[in-house]
Amino acid sequence: MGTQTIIQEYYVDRHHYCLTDDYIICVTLNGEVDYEQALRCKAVSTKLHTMFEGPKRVLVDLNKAGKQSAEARKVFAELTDLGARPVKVALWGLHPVARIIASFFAGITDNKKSKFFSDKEKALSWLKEKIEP
Amino acid sequence: MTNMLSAIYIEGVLNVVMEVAKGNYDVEVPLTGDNDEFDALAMGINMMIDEIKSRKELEAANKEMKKAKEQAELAKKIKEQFLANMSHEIRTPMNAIVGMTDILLDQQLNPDQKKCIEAIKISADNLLTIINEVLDFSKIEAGKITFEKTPFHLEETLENIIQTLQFTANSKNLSLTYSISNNTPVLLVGDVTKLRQILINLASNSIKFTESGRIKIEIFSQALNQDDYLLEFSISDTGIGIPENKIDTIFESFTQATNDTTRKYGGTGLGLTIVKSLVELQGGKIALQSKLNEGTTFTFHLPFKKGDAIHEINEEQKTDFQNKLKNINVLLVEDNAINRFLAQTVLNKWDCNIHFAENGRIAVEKVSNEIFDIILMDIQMPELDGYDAAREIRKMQTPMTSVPIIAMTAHAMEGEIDKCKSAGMNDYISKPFNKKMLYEKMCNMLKVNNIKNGGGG
Repeated sequence: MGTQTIIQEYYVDRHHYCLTDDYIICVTLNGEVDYEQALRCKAVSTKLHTMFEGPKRVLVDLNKAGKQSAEARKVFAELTDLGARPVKVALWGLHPVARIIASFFAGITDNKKSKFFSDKEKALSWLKEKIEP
Repeated sequence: MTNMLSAIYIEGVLNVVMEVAKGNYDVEVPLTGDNDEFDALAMGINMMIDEIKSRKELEAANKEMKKAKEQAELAKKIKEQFLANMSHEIRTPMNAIVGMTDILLDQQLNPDQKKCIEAIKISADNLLTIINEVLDFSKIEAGKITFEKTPFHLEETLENIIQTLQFTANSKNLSLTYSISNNTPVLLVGDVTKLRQILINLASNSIKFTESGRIKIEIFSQALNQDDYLLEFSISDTGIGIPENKIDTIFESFTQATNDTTRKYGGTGLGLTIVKSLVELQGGKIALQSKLNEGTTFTFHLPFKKGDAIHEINEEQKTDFQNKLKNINVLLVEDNAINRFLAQTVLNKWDCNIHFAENGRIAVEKVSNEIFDIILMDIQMPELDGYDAAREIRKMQTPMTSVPIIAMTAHAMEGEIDKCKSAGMNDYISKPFNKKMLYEKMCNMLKVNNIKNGGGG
């Protein structure tokens, strides 16, 4: 897969958002996400989405993620439904907590669009697969 | 995790579940930080609790919203009821003032008396216009205005409008004329009452704001197809005009061109708002052009259907009933002595035989024992109101059960017609009543029902 180079990055408290040279938006959630943070995350995410043309793909690292409040999830749902519209979201994590958080995330997105992986490389491969119309 | 630790953990989870069951959503299963299955379970439960809490909050908010909506609807209903009552309370004495003034004007008066009575008449008419504007505005605001589609003669309507406004125009030495383009159908189908209201409002505005010169109503028509016509109405004057910066806001509620306008010319500032709404609610458009000190032209477009021959025949048939109210037995049900006297004066002129009932109860008794050709029924009365009296009459097992009943009421709110009709009454006239309209309604009613139960008619 090779290493990714960060083109642009932002921090929302401890949560990290960046755009890599393979045009993937990488998100690393660190700890809980409340409503206020979710709004700022949404703003940063939208900014990254508008930085380039073409399909938007997102990789979310849930290894250090904490609880996302219901209000925060609603904000993320708006993000995927209305604003940034990623074509694919790969969520990945090594442990069961990450899987649970990913399941809640899946509940607010189109199942075809998001998938959970326990391996980052597999997640990236899936993201880079040809996007079916 | 050992069995003992597992047991402690599970007990912790159970405690949280029980709290949630009791309705406490501010609880969480503690995470160990090991990111293992226990933490995953705890995370899942915590996020579910959060979800339930969020939904409960939404539910509570919806409940509050529903309650607020119900309160708003109740307040609206109370407001409408208040308006209906006020309308009744104001119109009842107005009915007496306008009617009595008309009667007095028909009598021999010395010039000073005539001048005084005419002043009363003008003031009463003005007051009635203001009351009607406020009521119309309320109806439009409440979305309760409805439009009729009846055939009418455009030229007759225009003649009638000119006749209504001629006196005021003459008093200011203004010429008031109208013209209708040749291609306009003689008979149209639409809401003639609302059209009349729009034209009278615009033309009387023109008269009000014109000191010398003329007011012209011009009508052009464009055939959209064989049945549908788009009519352009243009009302132009040589009056004071409207300042350019006020043209955009002139149709807004409670707005007049300047404060000075209000002081000098009076009015509610609702007239043009009502006109605009009446035009737009019928699918039309209104615009204006004005030049200060030169004049103003209001132009509006309204769609109408062409009236057919059947409508014309009906119009002709109507004239067969001229002078046919002579010796008709009329039961006048009215609790207010002044209103009784007023209606009696009008009915006497038409040589009707008048019988009185002071409330609905007396009317029902009279109808069960006597024969009447038509009943004029007030609505708000002691003992038994007009609605219930009509219902009781319709339940009777005698030929009088189908006697025509015209409701005469000072309730002017939209929906009153339906209420009267659902109580079994045939028609409705609002007070202060227009004599010609009452005459026509009575003639129509007697023709439609073909009842001549007796009384030598």
